[in-house]
Amino acid sequence: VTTVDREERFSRIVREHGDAVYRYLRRRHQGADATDAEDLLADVMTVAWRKLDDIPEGAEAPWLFGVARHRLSNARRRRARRDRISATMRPVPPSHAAEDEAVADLQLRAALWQLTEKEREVITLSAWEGLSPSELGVALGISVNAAAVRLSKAKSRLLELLSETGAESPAPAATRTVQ
Amino acid sequence: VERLDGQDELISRIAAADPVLGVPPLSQGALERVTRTAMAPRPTTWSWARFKLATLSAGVVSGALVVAGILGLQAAVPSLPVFAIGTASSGSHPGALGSAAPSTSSGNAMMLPLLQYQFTVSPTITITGGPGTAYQLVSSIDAQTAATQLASAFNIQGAATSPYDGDYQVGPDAGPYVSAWTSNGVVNWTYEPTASSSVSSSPPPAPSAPAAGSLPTDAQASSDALSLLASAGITQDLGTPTVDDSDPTQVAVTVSMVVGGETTDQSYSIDYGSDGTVQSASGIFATAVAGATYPTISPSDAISILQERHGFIIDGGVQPEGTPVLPPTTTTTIPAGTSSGSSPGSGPTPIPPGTGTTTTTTPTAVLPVVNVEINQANQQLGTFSMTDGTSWLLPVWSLSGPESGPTVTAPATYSASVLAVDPQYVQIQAEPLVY
Repeated sequence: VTTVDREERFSRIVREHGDAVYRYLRRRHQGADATDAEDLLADVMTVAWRKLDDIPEGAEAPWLFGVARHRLSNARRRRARRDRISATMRPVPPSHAAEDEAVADLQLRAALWQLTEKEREVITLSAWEGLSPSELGVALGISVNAAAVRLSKAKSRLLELLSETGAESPAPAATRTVQ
Repeated sequence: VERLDGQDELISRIAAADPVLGVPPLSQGALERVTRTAMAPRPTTWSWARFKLATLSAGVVSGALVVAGILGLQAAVPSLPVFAIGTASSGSHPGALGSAAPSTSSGNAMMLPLLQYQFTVSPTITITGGPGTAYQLVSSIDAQTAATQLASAFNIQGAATSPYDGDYQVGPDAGPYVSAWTSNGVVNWTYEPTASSSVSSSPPPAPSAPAAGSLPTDAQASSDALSLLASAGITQDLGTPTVDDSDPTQVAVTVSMVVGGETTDQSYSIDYGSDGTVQSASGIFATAVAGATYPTISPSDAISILQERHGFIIDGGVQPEGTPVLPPTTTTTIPAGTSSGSSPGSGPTPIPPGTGTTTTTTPTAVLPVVNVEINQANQQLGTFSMTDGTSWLLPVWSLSGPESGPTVTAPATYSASVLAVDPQYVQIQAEPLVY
């Protein structure tokens, strides 16, 4: 693979998936603004550039989401520290997670928060990033089977929670088993 | 393998609640900027030889020269390199060339302007701009070494593993573990005793109950924090620890990095829980290496910039009933060759008077005005990330003063920082961040 080929592939990855990863980051980064998210996106893409040969063909997006998850975790810790420093200078408005601010469906939001983080992650990756079970496996670093099972359980749990809160829940889930 | 059917409505419902539905896609320019940043050569690990080279050539700020070369910039004054700033770190907004302490979350589709700030300069401020030294933040060790070193300080056994290239961790995912990674040429680190405390994407916690064990006193926590940092190999000048014990479950210690006698916005955090256990800790592994000395603007000029950039404050959250969504009320100076930014903290580079055009956006309604008389101006060092992937501590004016106005019902102090380096030596990324 020539340098030009690598650069072309990388540029294509950024073009095709940059916005999706950016949105992933903005959805989940507490109090993130556009600049924070773009910083994190640059971080993710820096890893992608350096690990370009390890990115599976056809699974670029979930691979990038996997890196983004990890970067986000670190950024959240940094953010918490930073916010505390700012707070010593001036009272700041309450900070809300991006999901918290913008999820207009209050019952859904409440139910989402009652899920475990793993459940919430798999279900939002499915709903917001549109990942299939096989892509979820790549993004979460687990097998396809495990991803499918986790997604199924998360959906069932969410439906239960919505039902418990009296929300107008969607039609009961039907799950069928295939090979 | 279970295949899911019949749950489409649930997924559709979640999809409809997508927090970024109203956010426009990243612009082509932003994607190109990301590409360029990612592909830029990474700063090499700091070596003694490189240190000597930098020391001998004080006027050569290597990183900025590289950037200037990449971007084809023409330094206004040939003797000093131009800073090509990608972002301002530590909570700053890049376009603002500084950090406004009020926490604004720009770019959120639900944001609306709430307040209009009007700044004045107290006659007590008589100092003017002078020379200010720029320092590059460099890490003398790599992330793997840092993780290993920290693990020893935190008594964590095991070898450093790398879940992703450049990220190193010692200890299990469930905790306790230390993690170190390089960002913009600087090694960052965190310590987490348990995985549950590592992620903040949880609902706001309920009011916490006092911890079962006794918390350390402020003095004990401060002393322990300094000892811990020293044992981890963090030996540069540190400021006096600041202790926050307002949370009944922990004592939070923050220690600023001090460079050349000036406080910086880089700091170390160590939180202590009951019985003096460390609940979390974070910081960087970096040394500040002096670069060139730059002329700086006066505090008055900095306040003018503050007025331009932060003359209004927008905030996320719930829109007050009946409040119209307004365009920001601001005056923007547009340098030749760049487009104008309309969101706070995202405008183009401030440039010397007379070299740009001025436009004024007229508000469609009057916002509550908060008057701020800036009566404190201290030169400090703020962190800025350059487009070549390096990080620099640059002189900033730390400005503060009392607020007054109809919305100010309790004594409040406004604080903000503005980059003090003469704007002719600063080049913000070519395209303003507008979202």
